Amino acid sequence: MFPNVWQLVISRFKGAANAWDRFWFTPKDSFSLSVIRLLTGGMLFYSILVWGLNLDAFFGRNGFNGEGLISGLQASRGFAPSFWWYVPDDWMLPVHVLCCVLVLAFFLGAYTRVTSILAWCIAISYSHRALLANFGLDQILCLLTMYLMLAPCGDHLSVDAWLRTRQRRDGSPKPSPMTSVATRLIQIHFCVIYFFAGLSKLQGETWWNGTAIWNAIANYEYQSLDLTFLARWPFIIDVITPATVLWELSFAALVWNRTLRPFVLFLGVGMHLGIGAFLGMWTFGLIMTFGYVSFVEPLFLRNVMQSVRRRVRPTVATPTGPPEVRDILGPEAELVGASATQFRTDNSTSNSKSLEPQTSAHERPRSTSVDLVLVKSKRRHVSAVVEYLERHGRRVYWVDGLVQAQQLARCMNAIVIVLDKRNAEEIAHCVERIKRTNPHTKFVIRRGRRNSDHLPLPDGDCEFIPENCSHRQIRLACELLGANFESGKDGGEKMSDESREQSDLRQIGASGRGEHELARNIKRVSALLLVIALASGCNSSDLDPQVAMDRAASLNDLGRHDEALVALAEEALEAVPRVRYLKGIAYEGVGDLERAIESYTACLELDPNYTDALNNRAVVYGKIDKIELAIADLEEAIERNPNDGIAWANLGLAHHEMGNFEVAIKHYNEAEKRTVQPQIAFQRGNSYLGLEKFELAVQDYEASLKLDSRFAPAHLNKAIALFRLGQLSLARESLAKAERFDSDMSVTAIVRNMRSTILNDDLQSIAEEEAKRWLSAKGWEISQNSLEDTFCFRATRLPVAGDERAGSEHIPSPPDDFIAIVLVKHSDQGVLCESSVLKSVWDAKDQTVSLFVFDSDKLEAAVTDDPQASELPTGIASIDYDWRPKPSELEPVQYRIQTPTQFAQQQSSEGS
Amino acid sequence: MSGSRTKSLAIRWVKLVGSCCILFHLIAVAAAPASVPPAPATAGRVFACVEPYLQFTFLNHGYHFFAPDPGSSSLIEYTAVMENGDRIWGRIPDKSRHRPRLLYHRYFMLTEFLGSLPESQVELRQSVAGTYALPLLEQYGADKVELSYVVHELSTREEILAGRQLTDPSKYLVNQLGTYSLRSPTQSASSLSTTDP
Repeated sequence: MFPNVWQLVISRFKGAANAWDRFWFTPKDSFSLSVIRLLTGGMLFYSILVWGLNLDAFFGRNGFNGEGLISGLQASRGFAPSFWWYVPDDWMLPVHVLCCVLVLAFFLGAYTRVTSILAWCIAISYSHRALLANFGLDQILCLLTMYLMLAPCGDHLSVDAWLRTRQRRDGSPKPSPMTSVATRLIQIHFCVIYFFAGLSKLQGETWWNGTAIWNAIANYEYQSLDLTFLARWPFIIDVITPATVLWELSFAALVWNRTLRPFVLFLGVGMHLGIGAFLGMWTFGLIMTFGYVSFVEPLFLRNVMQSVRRRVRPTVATPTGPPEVRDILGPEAELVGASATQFRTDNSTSNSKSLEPQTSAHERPRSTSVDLVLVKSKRRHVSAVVEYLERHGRRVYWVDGLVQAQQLARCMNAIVIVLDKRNAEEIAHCVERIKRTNPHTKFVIRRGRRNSDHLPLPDGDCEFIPENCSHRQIRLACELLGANFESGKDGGEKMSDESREQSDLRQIGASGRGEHELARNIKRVSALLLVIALASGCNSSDLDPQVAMDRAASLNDLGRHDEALVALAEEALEAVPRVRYLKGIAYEGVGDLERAIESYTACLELDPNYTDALNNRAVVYGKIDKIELAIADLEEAIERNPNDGIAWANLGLAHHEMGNFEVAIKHYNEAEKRTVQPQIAFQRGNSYLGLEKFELAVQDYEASLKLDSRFAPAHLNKAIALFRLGQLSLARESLAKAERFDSDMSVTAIVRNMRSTILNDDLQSIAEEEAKRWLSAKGWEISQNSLEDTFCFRATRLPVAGDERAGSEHIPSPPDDFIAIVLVKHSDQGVLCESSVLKSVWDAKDQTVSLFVFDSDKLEAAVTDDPQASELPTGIASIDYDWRPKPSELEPVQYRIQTPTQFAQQQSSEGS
Repeated sequence: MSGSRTKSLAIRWVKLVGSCCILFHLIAVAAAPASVPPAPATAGRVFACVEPYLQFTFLNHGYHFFAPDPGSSSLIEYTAVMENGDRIWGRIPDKSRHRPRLLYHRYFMLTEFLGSLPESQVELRQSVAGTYALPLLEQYGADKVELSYVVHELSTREEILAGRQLTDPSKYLVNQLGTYSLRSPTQSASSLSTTDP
């Protein structure tokens, strides 16, 4: 028990450590910090300019912040650095101007790595020296400049960035872990500020009796807009007062919730803008809202910037947002609101790949969840059906044909809902193809005049719905086939066309994706409320990359890697680890392995805990024979996530590739403890095959086939193992199954090759091809096969310029044409050949014949005892398949074919 | 491979050290407001440990904005008395003179600081008042300056509904701080002479 508890504690501790690592050190895009730098730098510059209006009064030795008084106040608190202590009164103005220049450089992002540090030094120097004139603005300015100093906040929107672009230096800036650290520090510091601000208010009576806000309003010295008219509506003050405390206290908790974050920030922006407008502290209110930018996703900010740029400088450039849905489904798709959900797939379908075994590809795991694939070629009604089904908790993909449905069905266990009007034969044909691709696929088919007949589908795999079916009937049919729906409102089943159009609009709006949606948002908010849009856009910013990534994942699953790369081409997506990961898969798919490795590496730089990227990079390393690197990656992946069964399996495969079969088997055993997949037993069988433990290999292949009886590579390798065990008939059976279940043609070539080379099922074609190749190389023109036998074909010696003796070495009097016959090799019984060929030879005996014989010495000596072969040409005994000619063995020897009788007559005449 | 492992190990160490720094920083940042009285003794002890760091980085703040209660404003009224007997009256802060608003707030914070000092700290209050008097003397070239500490009390809702203004003279409570003069042009604030009213 104790070891278990201890393991649990260790496991939890490691989990917490990983979470800490992800939270603080996941490299992030620095765009948000660049925006904060721009805003904070501007505010700092303004603040310093204002100090300059009465420099002597605030910083002079005889100013309001008297040297003796300030140093006395600070003496007991520790060292408070400020260069102002060392600046004589006469030098104050030049120093102040220099500070202004440096802060301006920081604001503009010039030499930001240096100026950010200097800006912080300047900020704290001014604040320490003018201690008595400080307020919240200075506190926030100092903390923001301090955190900005830690990160590459000049990567964007800066002179540095402009120079980098102008000088074409090393591309776009890379995400940095320090960006994450700085962003997190700002976020947490703001949480601390609000939490204690709220907590301290709980001590005050006025915050409890609801008069605190009134007191703030009634403070004439703070007042910039007179709100005393609120005295007539005390309930407003009574509500705002506790709400302020509640909001401040809850900020630290609620702001981390992605759903609530926009609302929390929206309230905060409202409160601070209110402070600015009514209490005159615009600077403080704004600097607080500037800190909120740390909670906004960089991608959203980028999109806002691009939209603003586009509005300011409209161009005819192609949109830079996520590609349109019509990229996948054609132009019609854009008309359908539901199209936004098309091809969204389970991430798991593309999160795991494995090294390809030596004989077959590791099949991509299928999604285990049941999804709905809606087949409907016309847009009418589709969005309403999709919306209805999605409202009931099902994921729906809309496709416009059964071919696409088949592609999707390969990736998931789906219910294909055929609403299209097709005839029964067409549907039956497509259904059969889909079932062959994935036998778990089920169907809901709408009856029509042309498909009223029953389809050849097993019971429980298909449900029919009437032609004028309702959405509810579709849902019920799906439920009968095993799809679970969440309870939801059934209203709107019979939707009018108008309401369907509204539904389309609603769905597009709800999706909150893409350039159009963003542009519409921009139109809706005014320029003054841009900051509010930042806050409220936090969630939608999450959706944009999500759509692109989901679609890219689906395209990868469908093998359309080029399109996946297009879908991920948006520069703004580069900072998202999963985008890099999906790009890696796509590059791998198009065969650009170097870029695949780069993408996976970039993904890992962004998120070192992205073990799938480690796993996939290992796969690519394996493909380019860098097995050691693959092993290192996989070991790291396992170290980070010991329960990753795929990584264990791939590690086994890597060791298999290295020839360490026993080590590989151990890893496969570990993998099998963590995940159940037919590939694992299959790969272990391969290792046993390598160790020549054929019986164990057969056992593993059978175990694999128990999990997936249609796993063609397992059938193939089982055949190999059976062949090595001498069980040829069983091997042939397995080969036949391998060919039958080979849905993606991955093993067909191997099966045929094996049949022809090992089981010798197709010897003739091999021999024919090689003979033809030889004849062609030697200048023979091969004509049509006149004898209709595989081994016999007419060949004509072509004249060779300058070589009168061409061909005459072997054929003393070369005829214009003759029959070339490829024969076979010798054996103890003589020269072996196929009987049909022998017949052709015999029929052609009046012509000159070239025989391709291996080891011709044995030809004349060969004697057959077979009485059936008495009339066969001399030396040709019988048929056998157990041979394979090599090109080097194909040398023509001209023989005169004799029957045994002729041979005996010749012998007797020679003897006499 | 070994290079990769060494790099990985180095990264881990960097992260470990970084994590320790972050942890220390977060404790310090939280300790500052947590130690503002009334506070548990532990918070005070933790703050005492991290105070030099917070002081250095200008992070030693309580973030008690408008807390525990938004109170009345503190102002300073002064009268600069010239050598020829002319008198110039002024108030800190002054919305009409201290512009832009940020500058006004800077001045306002000076007086708020004075108002935040407990009355028991008489010496400190006098020292602050004397410090404030010095730039006024220099600004006007005055012989002496008379300072008053003004508390602008808040009007209640009922008073506003009754028709009173926020600037009603009865809401300004004036306490004279003293009269300050320079004994020599180079005299520092600490050596100012005060004349009790």
